[in-house]
Amino acid sequence: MHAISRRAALAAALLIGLAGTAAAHDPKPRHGGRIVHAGSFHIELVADGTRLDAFLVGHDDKPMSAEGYQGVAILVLDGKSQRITLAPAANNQLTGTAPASVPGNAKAVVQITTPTGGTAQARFN
Amino acid sequence: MPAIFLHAVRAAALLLVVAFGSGPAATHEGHDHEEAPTTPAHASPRGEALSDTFQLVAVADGEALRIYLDRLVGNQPVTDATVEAETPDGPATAAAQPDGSYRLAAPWLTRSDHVDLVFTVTAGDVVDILPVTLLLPRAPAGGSATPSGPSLLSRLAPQLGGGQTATLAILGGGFAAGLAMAGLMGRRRAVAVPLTIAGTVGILAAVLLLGPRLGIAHENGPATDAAAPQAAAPKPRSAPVTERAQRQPDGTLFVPKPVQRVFAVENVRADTSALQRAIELPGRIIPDPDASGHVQTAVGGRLSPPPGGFPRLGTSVKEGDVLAYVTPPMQAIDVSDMRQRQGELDQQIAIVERRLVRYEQLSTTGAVARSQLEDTRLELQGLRERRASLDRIRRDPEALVAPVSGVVAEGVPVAGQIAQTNAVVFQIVDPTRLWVEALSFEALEGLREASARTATGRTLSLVWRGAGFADRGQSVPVHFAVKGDVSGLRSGQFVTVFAATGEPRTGVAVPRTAVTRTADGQDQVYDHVSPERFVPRIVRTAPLDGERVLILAGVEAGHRIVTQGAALLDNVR
Repeated sequence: MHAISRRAALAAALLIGLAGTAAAHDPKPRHGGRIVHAGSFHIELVADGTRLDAFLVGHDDKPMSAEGYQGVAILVLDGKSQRITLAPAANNQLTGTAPASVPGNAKAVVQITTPTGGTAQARFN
Repeated sequence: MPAIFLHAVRAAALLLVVAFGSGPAATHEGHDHEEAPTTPAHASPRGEALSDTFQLVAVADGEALRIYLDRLVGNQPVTDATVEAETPDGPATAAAQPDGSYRLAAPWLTRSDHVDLVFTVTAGDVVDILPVTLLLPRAPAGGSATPSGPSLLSRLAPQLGGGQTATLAILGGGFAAGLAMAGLMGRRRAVAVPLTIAGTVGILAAVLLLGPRLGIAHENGPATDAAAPQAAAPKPRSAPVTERAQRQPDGTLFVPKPVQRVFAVENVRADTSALQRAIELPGRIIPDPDASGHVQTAVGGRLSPPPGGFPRLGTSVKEGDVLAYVTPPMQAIDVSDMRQRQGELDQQIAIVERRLVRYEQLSTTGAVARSQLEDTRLELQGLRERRASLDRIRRDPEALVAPVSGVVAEGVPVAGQIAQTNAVVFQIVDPTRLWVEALSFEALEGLREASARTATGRTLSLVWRGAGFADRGQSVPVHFAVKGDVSGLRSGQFVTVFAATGEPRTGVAVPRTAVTRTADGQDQVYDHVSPERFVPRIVRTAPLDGERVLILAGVEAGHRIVTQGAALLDNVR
């Protein structure tokens, strides 16, 4: 009786501990872009012509509201660096416009400013 | 029954601890950055980033950032780049400094303990974007970046809402819980004290695990931002006196960029390749036999200088130049012989002269045939020539001429010195054509090229010329011609010859200077793992050639191995 209750409690504790660490991976991109971890969330960067979208995805793999967030993307276009500001557009989406068409694999860094003034950045290579 | 209850309580406590422990881990999911490199406490707050081309280190220095930009492979400083930064106050450009670094005014450093910067580096036609995150101490009283026990507690207290009272309450609660458990145990008094302590420690541990994640976490999600204390007014952080290289407790080296530049640390990317190993042979420089010569006397005699004096050491001479005269001394018997011969010749000349005069008178009358007169004339001429040559032999010394063009390598003759027969008066060497004679203990089949290293570390490339067949002290002489620049070399100098031979072996070829010796005699190299961190790696090496060694084990391809300054890094304590 003693032994059983102790073992059960231990097993339960271990299970909970493991569950926390098991899910350590980036969520799958949902908009066909590249997804990278940034601070307390993930950023999916999608380039479509001159349009640049950044989608915020929480650690729970669910879209995160971009309300009040600001962003800036710095990327290399035709051998020059471009600074593109990203503004909240839709639910979890920040959008900006590049001066030229952005290739899908362009080197870029996206910096997101949270409503409280903190920053997070993600690097896309 | 109490025992069961105790187990349940213990399990619940464990559950609590693990749950708190794993809670924050869940919010860290997908965190793919490596464990933060350890920097010594004396180092300024700094951030670093790598790209395919560059490594960048940004160091907080009061209200400015010092930025060091170096090549990723090679580690050479990049001083002519344009460094722009996306700062909390918008874009800014860093100014190049005379010391090769860049400086960026950073008034925003004091505003937050987490600063995200995006650097755009333009060097020539290479553009790179490097994100850097600076974690700054919140500048509490101590100003220390690593929280210690008491400071952590005092930091925790306000977050939990009650200041000091909360801390006391937690401690008291733990103590009370322990006591309660002990009471439930009833009969077993001896266990009471340890249990009380255990209870206190357990709850304290739970709080400690929970605390840092709440208060001083560096994530910037809305939750943590809300919890971040805004009250503590940031104080200006004082710049450290000097940053110095330091060996970390884990054996890695922390070498700040300024120190790396003083050390002139350079690295090379390790590539695995199949290379033939080299055997080392002892050798020495010899002059090319076709381009060197001896000036020897065929007969012994007295040396005398040519009109311009004896050529001195190092004088360049041309083939055929007269370098000295040797006058054979006259032996007494020779002198008497010559005198006798002279006398005979003089006598004959006198007789023939008389006869010639008489014949000339008689030939006009026809008493003497004309042919007789002419024969006598020729006879006289022959006798005079013999007499003259006898005089000349006595007078003419032997001229010693240079057999080849080159410089005088050896020989300091003095006027009047008596040279023995076959004595070497001068040695002439063409300094541009040198060979190496090495002793090999094994047959070098099919060897075409080799290299040699002098005692000063200079490397020479060699071309095979031939090997002897006769054994000389269990080895055979092997000859190589030195290819390329031979200035500074001298005949007779000892060199180590590296001849590539045998089966190709697979490994990482690195310069000899990359490998240092540990105190216990093992070979090691320094792996440049991050801009300011070097990890010593024990390696197994085999000699490759004069300049390189082959790392057979210990380092994998793709790592950046320090090639210059490794000895200096080795002395960092």
